[in-house]
Amino acid sequence: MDEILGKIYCWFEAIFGQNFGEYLWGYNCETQDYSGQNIFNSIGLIAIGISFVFVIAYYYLPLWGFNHPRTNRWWNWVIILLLTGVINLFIGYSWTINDFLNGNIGDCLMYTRDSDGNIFSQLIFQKDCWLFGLSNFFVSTILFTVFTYMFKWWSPNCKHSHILSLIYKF
Amino acid sequence: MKMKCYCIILIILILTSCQSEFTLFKEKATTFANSDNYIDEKEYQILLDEISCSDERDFKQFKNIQGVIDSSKVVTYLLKQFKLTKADIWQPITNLKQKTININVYIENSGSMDGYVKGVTEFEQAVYNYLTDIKISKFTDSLNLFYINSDIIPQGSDISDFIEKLDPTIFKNKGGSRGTTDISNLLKSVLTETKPNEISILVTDGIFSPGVGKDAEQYLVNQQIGIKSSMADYLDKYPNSAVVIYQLSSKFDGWYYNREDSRTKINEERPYYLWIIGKTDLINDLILKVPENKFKGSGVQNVFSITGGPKSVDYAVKMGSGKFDLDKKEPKTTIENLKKETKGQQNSARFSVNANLSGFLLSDNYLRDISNYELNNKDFALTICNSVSNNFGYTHQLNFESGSVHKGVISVKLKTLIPQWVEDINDSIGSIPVNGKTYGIKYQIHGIYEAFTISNNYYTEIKIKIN
Repeated sequence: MDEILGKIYCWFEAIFGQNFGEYLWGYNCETQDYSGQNIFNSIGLIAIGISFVFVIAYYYLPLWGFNHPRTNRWWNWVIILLLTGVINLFIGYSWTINDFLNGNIGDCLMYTRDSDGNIFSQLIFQKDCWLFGLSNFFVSTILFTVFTYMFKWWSPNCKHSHILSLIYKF
Repeated sequence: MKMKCYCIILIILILTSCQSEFTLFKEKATTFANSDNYIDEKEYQILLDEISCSDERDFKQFKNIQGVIDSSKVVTYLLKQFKLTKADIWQPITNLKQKTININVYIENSGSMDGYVKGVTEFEQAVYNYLTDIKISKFTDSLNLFYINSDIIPQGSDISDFIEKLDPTIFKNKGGSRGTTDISNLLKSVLTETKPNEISILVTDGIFSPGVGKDAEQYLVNQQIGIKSSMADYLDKYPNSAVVIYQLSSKFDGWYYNREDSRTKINEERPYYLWIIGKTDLINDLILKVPENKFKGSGVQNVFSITGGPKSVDYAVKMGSGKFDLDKKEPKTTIENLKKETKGQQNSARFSVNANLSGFLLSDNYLRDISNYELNNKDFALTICNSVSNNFGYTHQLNFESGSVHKGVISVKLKTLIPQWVEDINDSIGSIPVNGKTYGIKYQIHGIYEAFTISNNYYTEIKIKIN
């Protein structure tokens, strides 16, 4: 059960890489087990929370133009979707870059070493933090879409405003 | 619209701009390390205080599961972050209790050994140098020297005096029955004298001398059974014991006695043997302090070593050694979703396992020889290499590769085998001196082997589950 979020993120493992994925699973190089923090769960829960809040806000919150006849076009929904994704992209990036720069990613995940202990190759780079941010973008947009279908039905102004409504039109 | 932008910027700023306690810790460590390239006791304590006072998750890397700071992890981090050596970081002293270990050295002084001690020989050099190395390595502070034939004759503990007196005349004058060599009894005497915190070193030519009119074949078999029985009794008392036999070579100028005790004068290189008997961990320590490559003279030609088994060893699947996931609950021993990997022309499923095989006193050659391993799944090909440098003590990497994906348990056993050199160096007839061979040596080694392998014939088993 505690691996569900990690498994969802691992649909995108090809983007951020296997070793980076192991770090996110909480692999601890000192003990050779998964005793570290499962970052997938932490970031996944934040992504769920943000997506949920933005969906509820878009469909029901009578503030800042949400839940208003003027914002019930499909592209309004897309803007909020992208906004959710971008916020989660930065959350994924900032969380992991912090660990990367502080040396919190285990040596066994970061490098391949030769028999003398010298670094043979690096396995995790700064760009992987961006790529994980991108994966978080995708996951949060999926969550946003799911929440849209769960909660849009009772919205007085925007229940038909989502990307699929555009497809239905055609 | 402006309001939205402010909100986004605010969220991003909140998420990225906080300076954590860990960042402050890092800054302090950098200041300490860069000021004089040395982290002294006071600075080290300040860093420890920073770690202990914070619950921030970045500090978890320095603590064990109970949340106690692990000093070695702090040092490892500092070494990784800064250009420092271990000497540049003050570390708490751990009081290691010194063990007192006795070493008893027995040199066989039967008539057949005279040729090794006539004049200055490699035999004397090798024994003198080895015993001196043991003494100066501080491995033991009690080195007792003995001659051995039918009796054990104490010779004090002065190594140089002992070596100077290695001479055929003195051999003869020291007494005991020098006429025949009953190796089974010799070994029994040595084993009886070897107590748990002791190591016995026996130096012998290893030649059986059945005597006139005896059935040599029957004699050798009986000797083998006698050796097996003595060794088995010893193992019963001290199960964590081990035997290491170094085969050495030296100039031999003297009488060679054949199986019927008729003698031939020879002047040539002859093999002789240095047996080490005692607790496995003690012998391991001894070998680490005085390795076989330190032997003077012709050096160690061959090694036979044996310990009781099976013993569990520390091993773990190597992350990234193939296309698979580690099981989250048992990542050391279980893998999931093993898939074929396509690299160039290769199209195979593979994974590697790191293992610490240092506890068996086996040579690297033995451990890297795949014929010494037994795999339960013939579809997997096994290769072995040395592990890359690691903090876990892993010595060898076992690489598994298969053309198809299998599920189930892959088991590999490190077998207890007698090396081929034992057969090669054995003189099975014993009527004339055969250059470089010893009459009946294989019966001695087989006797030891059978005692150790009475209930199993493997040192350890490594099991990997593929789900």
